[in-house]
Amino acid sequence: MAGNISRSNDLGIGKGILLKIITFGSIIFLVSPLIILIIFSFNSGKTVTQWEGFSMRWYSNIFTDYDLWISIRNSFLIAIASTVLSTILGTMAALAVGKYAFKGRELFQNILYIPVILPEIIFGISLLALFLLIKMPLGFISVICAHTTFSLSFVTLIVLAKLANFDKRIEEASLDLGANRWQTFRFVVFPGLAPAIISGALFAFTLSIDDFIVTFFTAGVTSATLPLKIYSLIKYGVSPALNAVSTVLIIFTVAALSISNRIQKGAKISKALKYIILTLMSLILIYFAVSFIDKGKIKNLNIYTYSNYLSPAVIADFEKEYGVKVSMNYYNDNEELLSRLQMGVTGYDLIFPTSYITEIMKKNGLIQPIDTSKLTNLHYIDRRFRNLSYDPTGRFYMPYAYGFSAVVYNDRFITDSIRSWNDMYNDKYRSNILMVDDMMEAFFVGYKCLGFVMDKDEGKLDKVTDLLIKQKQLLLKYENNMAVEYMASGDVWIAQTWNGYIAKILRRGPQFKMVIPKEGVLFFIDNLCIPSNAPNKEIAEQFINFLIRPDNTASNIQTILYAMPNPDAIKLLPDSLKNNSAIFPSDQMIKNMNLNKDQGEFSKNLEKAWTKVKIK
Amino acid sequence: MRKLFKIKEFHLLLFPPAFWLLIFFIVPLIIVLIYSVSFRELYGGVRTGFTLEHYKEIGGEMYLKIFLRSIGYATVTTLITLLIAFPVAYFMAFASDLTKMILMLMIIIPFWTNFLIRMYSLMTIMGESGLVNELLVSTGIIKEPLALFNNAFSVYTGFIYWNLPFMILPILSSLDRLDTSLLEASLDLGATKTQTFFRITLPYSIPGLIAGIIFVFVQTMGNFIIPEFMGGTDNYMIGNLITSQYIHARNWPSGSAMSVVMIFFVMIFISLYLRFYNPSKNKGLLTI
Repeated sequence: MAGNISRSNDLGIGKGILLKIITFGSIIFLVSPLIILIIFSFNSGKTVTQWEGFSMRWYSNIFTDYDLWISIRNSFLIAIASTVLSTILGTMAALAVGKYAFKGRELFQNILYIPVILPEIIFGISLLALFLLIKMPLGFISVICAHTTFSLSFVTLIVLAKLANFDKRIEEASLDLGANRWQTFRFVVFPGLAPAIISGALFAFTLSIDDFIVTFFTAGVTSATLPLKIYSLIKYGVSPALNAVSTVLIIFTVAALSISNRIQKGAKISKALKYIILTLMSLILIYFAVSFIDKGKIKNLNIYTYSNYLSPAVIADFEKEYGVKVSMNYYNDNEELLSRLQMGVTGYDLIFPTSYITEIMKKNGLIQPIDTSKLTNLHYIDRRFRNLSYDPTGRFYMPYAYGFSAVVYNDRFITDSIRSWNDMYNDKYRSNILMVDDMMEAFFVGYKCLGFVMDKDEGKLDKVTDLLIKQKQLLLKYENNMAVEYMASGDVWIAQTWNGYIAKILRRGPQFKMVIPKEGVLFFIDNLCIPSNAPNKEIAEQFINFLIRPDNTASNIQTILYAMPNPDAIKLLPDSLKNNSAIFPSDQMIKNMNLNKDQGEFSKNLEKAWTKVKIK
Repeated sequence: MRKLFKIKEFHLLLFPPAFWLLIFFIVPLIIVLIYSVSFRELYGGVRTGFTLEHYKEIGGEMYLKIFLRSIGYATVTTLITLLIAFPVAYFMAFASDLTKMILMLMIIIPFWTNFLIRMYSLMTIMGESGLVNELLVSTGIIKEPLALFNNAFSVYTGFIYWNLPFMILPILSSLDRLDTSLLEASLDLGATKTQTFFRITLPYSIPGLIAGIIFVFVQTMGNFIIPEFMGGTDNYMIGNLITSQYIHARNWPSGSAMSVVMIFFVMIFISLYLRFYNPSKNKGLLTI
């Protein structure tokens, strides 16, 4: 290629100082974030912005993170399967297109090229639509099919390019000299194409390992890949562990890249190296295959919940006591939980829907009754929470935690008195206000600000929507999971968030103050439910029983700082927690509590209005 | 003359990939089209039937704004990326071998690094208490931390950061095909450097230029992760809207209708791409 010839010239072209500045500036821009990321993977502190000292602790964390390894294994399995499929199919397509002028070849070729440039979201949505229609469960198969489809085109293009440069006379000579067609293909054409096929396969492999968007739409729980895990780490709690994972991945990418580059350039890999690579690869393959088969024997529990909503210590105790591996998956809000289940995502054993979502799920057959006869600790649960209106039988849910969302502010920045929801939206706090990213919470505040009761009146809804849009101009963001970090760093002065987060924020210093707005707050009761298609129902029941044991509940409350309906557990708590109004709402508040209800047909209007707020 | 494959064997070669693309690429697009004219079910799912209400909604002022915003973001991103990428590619094309190799490495590593990781790396330094602000404040350039994050600025930065390699590489691959003797001849024959640039260098770079522009534009249009993580409240794009229709509002038909509009819009660019930059003749982005 021309690029390999030295083009340094005496013409004085491309030598301007401005060119140099722009070039080196952009290179620094491209590379420095990655370098900083790598440096901070060795930070001993918990933040990714303040250097506290050198440490390898995050790397050792990687090795003990079970979920992370599962996701890496899934990534590899999916990449290997889709690479094999797409390489075979892609090479076939290339041979057909390159060697045979058939009717519709141009059309076929164009269809092959489109995936190269089509935005991934279109791929993801359309494949999701297909899987939804044929009711194919979202899992390994669906992701492999999806990855194969977009990799196929790339393989075809690479092989086709090689085929175009292939000297036809060699092929003809071989045939003329008495080799049969198979021999010619096997010993002449195929070896000529092999480098292209290999680099096509490597390309497909990298695409699959890297893909996020298509996987986001087509993956199930047990098939979550590394990029999905990275996404969840970014979204639900950034820590230097993510930097360590990223560093490993960058190193892996660079290594794969250099191998692929060598192969493409036709450089001979020494025999010893070849054997080493082959052995390594087969070892990895065998390991993954064995662990995959073995998976049937290891007892698993897949939990789908909010982030920071279950104490890791309690989970670890459960894992030890019952010999079960617990995997955590997070959702952003109730709507996402409901949508994912509606889409037929399989593999979750335990979910945490809020009361009104529990009702919808029950109506739609998405959850199944819990076998209460197995729950020896059932009697510890506060009776008042057992048979609530959304499931009077009490069979479909176990009350987990309850709480409310209120206002928290930093009095270093805010000196006005905050008493009402309306006080949050002061122009002085512009871009320093945070609200939760939750439709029902946002509308609750909107209705309260205007002094309305949420009924099904469209005129009122319009007014509330307009108000929310006006308020939005003042917000930094709608965010569910990062309130503590935003408040602690001072980026946010005042926030609407859930009381568990408020309790955590209050611990950070006396400058933080909680306000229960005088208009009232929205309560929630979150439940433990078992999806109808849960693969490990019995383990889920064991876990529920374990969780409601008073000592475990007490330990759980101390970590997540939400109230739980378990009087014996509350007795075990230190007084400072028992009397903490940010954790345990007063009886007065409970008496006047507002709970979300299923809005039925009206939820369509709410959703439309919420979309309008978000995009305006 | 004997042929390597018989007609029947060609069919055997052609059928599996063609069938695969039909099932997993063409049919899904048709399903999206069908969903887009169906009625929604309350809790997700579709009821068959025919309605254009979802399209009417998209034509409304609200959704139009999102489309225009997405096109605006994509256009500005493409322009800025181009303005940065062209000089870089130009410099690299005429740099010495060693310089070029080093620069190439610096571009290819980010190019192949996972998109989420790259975005995350940018996020950590751009926050209000991130390194950039800390550096600026501690050196006394500014007194108060700048609002770099959760706004349009950070969204643009994210897009440009993501797209730069995608623009530099195809332009470079075009410029690499330019024979320097042409430039020499031009200069020897009395053309000025400016004339040489506009008459020779620029025309040579056009295939890569167009490929880069279309690729960056289309990818930016469809992205929803950068507005989600780096944007504030006013940076919602069409991709976020489609995602939220599926993942939050359980309104599959509406999400499908938006996808259809986006597909048609993007197809215009794809057909241009295929016309100017036939991937079978030009490996472009695939060159590493």
